[in-house]
Amino acid sequence: MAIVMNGKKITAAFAWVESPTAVHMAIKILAGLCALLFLLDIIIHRHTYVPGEGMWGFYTFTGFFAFTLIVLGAKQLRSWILRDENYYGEQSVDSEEYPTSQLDIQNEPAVDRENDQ
Amino acid sequence: MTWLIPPLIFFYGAFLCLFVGRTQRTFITLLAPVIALVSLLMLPMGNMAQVQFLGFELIFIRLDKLAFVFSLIFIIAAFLAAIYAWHVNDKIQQVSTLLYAGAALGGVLAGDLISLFLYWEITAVASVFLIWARRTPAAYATGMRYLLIQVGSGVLLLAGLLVHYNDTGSILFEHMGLVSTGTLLIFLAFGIKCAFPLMHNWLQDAYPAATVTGTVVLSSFTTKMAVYALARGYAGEEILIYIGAVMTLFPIFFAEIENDLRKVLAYSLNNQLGFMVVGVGIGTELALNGTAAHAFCHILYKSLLFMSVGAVLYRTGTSKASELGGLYKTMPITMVCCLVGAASISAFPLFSGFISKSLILDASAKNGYYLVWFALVVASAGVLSHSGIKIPYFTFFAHDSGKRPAEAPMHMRIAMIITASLCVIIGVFPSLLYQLLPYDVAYKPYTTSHVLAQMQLLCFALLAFVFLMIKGIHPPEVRGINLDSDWVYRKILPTTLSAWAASAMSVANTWRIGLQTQASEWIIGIRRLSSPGGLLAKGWGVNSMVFVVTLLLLLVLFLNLF
Repeated sequence: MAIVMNGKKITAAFAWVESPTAVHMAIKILAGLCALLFLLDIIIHRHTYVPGEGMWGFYTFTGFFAFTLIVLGAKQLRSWILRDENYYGEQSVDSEEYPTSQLDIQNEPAVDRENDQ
Repeated sequence: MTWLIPPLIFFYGAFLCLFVGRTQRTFITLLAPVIALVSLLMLPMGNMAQVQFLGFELIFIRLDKLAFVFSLIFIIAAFLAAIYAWHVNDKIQQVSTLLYAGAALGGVLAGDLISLFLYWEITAVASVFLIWARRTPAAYATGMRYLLIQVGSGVLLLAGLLVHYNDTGSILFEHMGLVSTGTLLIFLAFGIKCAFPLMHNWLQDAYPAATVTGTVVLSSFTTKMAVYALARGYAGEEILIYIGAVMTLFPIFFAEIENDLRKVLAYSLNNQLGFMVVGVGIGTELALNGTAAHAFCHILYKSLLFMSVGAVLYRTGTSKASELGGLYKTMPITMVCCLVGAASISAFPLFSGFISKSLILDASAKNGYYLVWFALVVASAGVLSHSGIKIPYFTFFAHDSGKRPAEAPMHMRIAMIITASLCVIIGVFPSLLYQLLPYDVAYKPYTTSHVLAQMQLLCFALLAFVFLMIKGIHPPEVRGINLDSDWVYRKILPTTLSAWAASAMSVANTWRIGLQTQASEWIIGIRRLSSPGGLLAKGWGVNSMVFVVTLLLLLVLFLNLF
């Protein structure tokens, strides 16, 4: 994939990130790594301080379920506390754009993008 | 030598900046940290710069290993922020940055409570200009809220130090513990700046409102000065362990659903402070080493994350996750630096967070705080969710926003690359940092069990993320704001107060009208008495007059009997 910027055609580094094969591959690698880490728990004896920490797969379960519960909890929280950006009106920066005079915005529109065939 | 102590060098720089042009100002902001570093390295351990003031002996420099490690990272942070802000041509921001950094450094080096109070207030006043420099009405209002709370913390500190002096006759800034009203007031003052739960809102309110470079500066100093102050005055105070544990947990949920990435980072900052506060609360040598190490690493990776999101804001005009995505295509260097920051804060092995956070976790486990330890483990998975994944994923990957911003300017890239390198260097060679820590503790972060446990935690958390994304359960980024406890003083109180004011006004009005009616009736009555034909206006006969005078004389006579 290439991107046209300021009239110049540049090839995006890391463009492979977007290809579906790469994404599938990354997921497979992660799943493989997780399986390996899970199995290593049998072979390697972890030194522990806390009761229950030495349980098989303690960190794997904690990691997975803590993350899931946090996301689900946050989702529930959002349903209670989400408000419009103008909720606090002019008293809050959420209602305004960052003053562009202090920035150096260089933002080419996406229509310039084209695919290498 | 007293005139060349590190905080003063920043103040001299700030003063000079008032009178010189843009280029000189930029060089001064870069040079001041370098000279301050030389000055710090030349200082001997112990008390220095003692000044008699109104019968008190102020100690402006008290250097020991705890103060040294915090001073060092403050100076490094000021230097990195100066590189990042190379493009800034704003005298107000440059002067206030130098004043602010110098005051924070002074606070860390202060050996007595009066000079601490002095620096405490300078940080408040100097830093607010980094918010006001955005120059919008909203930034002005936010700055006022921030200033009110920061100065309030200073007032509490002053009140506490007066009571403490009255109790003990000492103004020394040393271990105090929660033993009296005075120490409680000082504790609360520190707690506000450290963003304890329910005292935290100023942080998430103000930091995202500052300028692109201002937020990077703000993220380094105030809160870590407060952590240092707690470590100095309240190490081993058990309540801090529980306060810290709550601090690690609750901001995660808010960070997870927040749309403004700079506010996500502010929540994540709050959560990282929690780890440090737990370390202070445990108070053992290992735990305090953990707090110092974590503050050191945290300042670096948090600056790095704020820098990368700032660079995105600088190039695209927004830091809202819902408006971003796919930026890796044109901002690859910023993306890689952001990933390094994300890996560091998530504590992946070989990155800085891993070698500092483990000290605190191990200290809590070894001292039998199992529930707190478990909270910290859960919070570590939470850190991965909002800072490790959310920040880089929704900015640089996720859906293509169509934005094609240019890469960050050269000086920003340099600042980010240096900071990222420091994160990796510390992660790979932890002994570099460990030898700076306040206590000599032999600690090995890279043991098989430790690396395995951390990798299991993080990889399975990542797996959960992939699972939630594929299933479409992960909440999307949407525009909007999330209420936090500042809702009480920003919405409920003003609304209730104005309702109270309105009802009080209506009661007052009713009374006023009633009184007016009554008064005018009295006036009419008096007028009637004195008008022609009225009782007081008619002619009185001599007989009646003599009668009245006799009555009066009798009255006088009667009174004289007593």
